[in-house]
Amino acid sequence: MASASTDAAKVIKVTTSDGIDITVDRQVAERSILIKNLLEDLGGESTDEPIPIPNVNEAVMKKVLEWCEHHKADPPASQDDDSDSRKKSTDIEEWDQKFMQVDQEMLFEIILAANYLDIKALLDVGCKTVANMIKGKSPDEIRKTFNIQNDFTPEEEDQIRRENEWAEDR
Amino acid sequence: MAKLTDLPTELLVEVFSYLGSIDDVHHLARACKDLSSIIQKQAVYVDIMRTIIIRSPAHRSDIQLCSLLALHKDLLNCWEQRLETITFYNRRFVDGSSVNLDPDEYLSDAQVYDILVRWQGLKGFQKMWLARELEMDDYLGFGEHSDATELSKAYETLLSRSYSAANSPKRIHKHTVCYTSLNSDQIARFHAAITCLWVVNEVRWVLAQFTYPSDRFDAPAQLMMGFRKDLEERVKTPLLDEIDVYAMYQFLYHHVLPLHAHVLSDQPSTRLPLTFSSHPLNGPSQAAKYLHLFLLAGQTYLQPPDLIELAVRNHCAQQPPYHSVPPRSTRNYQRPYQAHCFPPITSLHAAIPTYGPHPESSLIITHINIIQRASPSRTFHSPPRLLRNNPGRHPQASSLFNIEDTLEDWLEEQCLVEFDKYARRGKERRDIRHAWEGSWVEDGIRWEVWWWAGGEDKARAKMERWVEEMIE
Repeated sequence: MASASTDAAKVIKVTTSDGIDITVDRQVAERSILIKNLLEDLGGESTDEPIPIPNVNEAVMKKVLEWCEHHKADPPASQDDDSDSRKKSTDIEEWDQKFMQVDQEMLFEIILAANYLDIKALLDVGCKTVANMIKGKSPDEIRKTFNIQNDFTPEEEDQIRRENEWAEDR
Repeated sequence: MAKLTDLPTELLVEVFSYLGSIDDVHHLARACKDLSSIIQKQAVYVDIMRTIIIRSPAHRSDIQLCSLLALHKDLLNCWEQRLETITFYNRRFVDGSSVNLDPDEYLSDAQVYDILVRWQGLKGFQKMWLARELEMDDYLGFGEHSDATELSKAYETLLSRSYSAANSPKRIHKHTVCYTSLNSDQIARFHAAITCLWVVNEVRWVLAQFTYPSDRFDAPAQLMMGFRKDLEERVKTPLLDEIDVYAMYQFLYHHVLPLHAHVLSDQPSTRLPLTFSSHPLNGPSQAAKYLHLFLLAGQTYLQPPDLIELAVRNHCAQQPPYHSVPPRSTRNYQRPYQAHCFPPITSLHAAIPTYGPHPESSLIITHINIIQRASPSRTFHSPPRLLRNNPGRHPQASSLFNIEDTLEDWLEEQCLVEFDKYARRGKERRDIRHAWEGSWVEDGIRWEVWWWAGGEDKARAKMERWVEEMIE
């Protein structure tokens, strides 16, 4: 509940791929490393020029900013490479789980946007959500879930099954 | 419209790495060619698997097992090159540091492949488990038998039940009819249970190779305690884990081992204790003593893959063209150190008094004691209970040697202790032990363990109910 409106430097504008301008707290937008670096390159001064985000449309951008808003107080992502990603658990916190209850198209759009905007934590949540949708499923169930066309011939499928799984039946 | 396959390769790799099991990776890769091509690159594949193995609770014992198996191989080299074993023990064992592996430590590519092979190879037991619902008479616990005729009869019953199984229903209870496959959680528990038991048994194997005298008497106890500590640190769902491992132990060593033991029977007596006469009823009580010893030695020297080998060979021997070849290649791997060898001319049917100044009798007692010393329950405070050859005792032909199944007792105790820690207390509470024995052994509940114990809480609730039912 800060009196942000009095301080222009704390608010920025972004333009989405479909030409919509969105006003957002600078602190929120800086969850995106891409935007953060851009702003730093501009000298840290507030600018009225909206920042163009040509890869993300309005609906997705709003969703991403909703996530950033909720996580604005999180400690900034460490610059470490993902060498310690192995130790990270596959758990997703409750708010994020609810946040990710969207249709598949939106889910993948969010992941692509998080990748483009360089928001590592959101990207992780997205990938974990997809992985959770796959866990424990058979190849057929996976195809159904994600509407994937099976482009293997039966012989080819048999071949990779034998290579990887030593399978005899099933 | 964005689809899964629209994600760039590096993000798909990320998704792969967050999967729950080795099977998940293979199933996803089978969905279509694009996804399959991700894991075609060897380096990416190994990296994904490494991440999953380190993260998944199914593999919590696998990493430790890797280092133990390396130790196993080291020991074999030692004997092959006739190195001074005592020096070896001092160098490698005393602090136990060589075998305790930090789980977060880097897992080499070779170890990742080892674990992949283990994951697929040990699946053979799932098939065996699901083949037929087992009842009390399908298990042969050698610790409960003291009479030779009884043991022979129990063995015969176990075999004949298996032979007649082809013509009888595979499921006995109404509710077990649908228990025909394991889901991914159950598969994970299954694998964790085998590997955890394998770790315990591999430690036991190492200790059974320990030659006395050594200049460090406490080395085996040190090693065992180090391992128990390490095992305890890995536990996430303590009660469930203990129950799984105990059920697995009884399945592997009280069912699979005696069922396929036939493959190792009737070999030259120098193979003792890992052989016995296949006709225990013909030479009534005498031959049963070697069967008894075999069951003890089998669970010490034979590891899960050895049991798969026995099962496969037994299967081949029963189908045309009836190939019957006792295993050779693994013999040295199982018992490299051939001390206290039985003389070549010993008859597997010979009459052996249970106690007394008889050479075979002494040898049997020596072998029993070597194994009991390697017991997993040993600590500084509870030294192993050893048999003494007491010539003053009356030799009885029909009584067996007093062998305790220390591993079974220990595993059972772990289950009960784990339950008791958080059990509900009440005025008229009875000991879990009574309820446990009734439900676990007689009601055949151990075979159904993957289904009724759906999680730590469910397992605990079920056991609470057993106790309540006992009061009524």
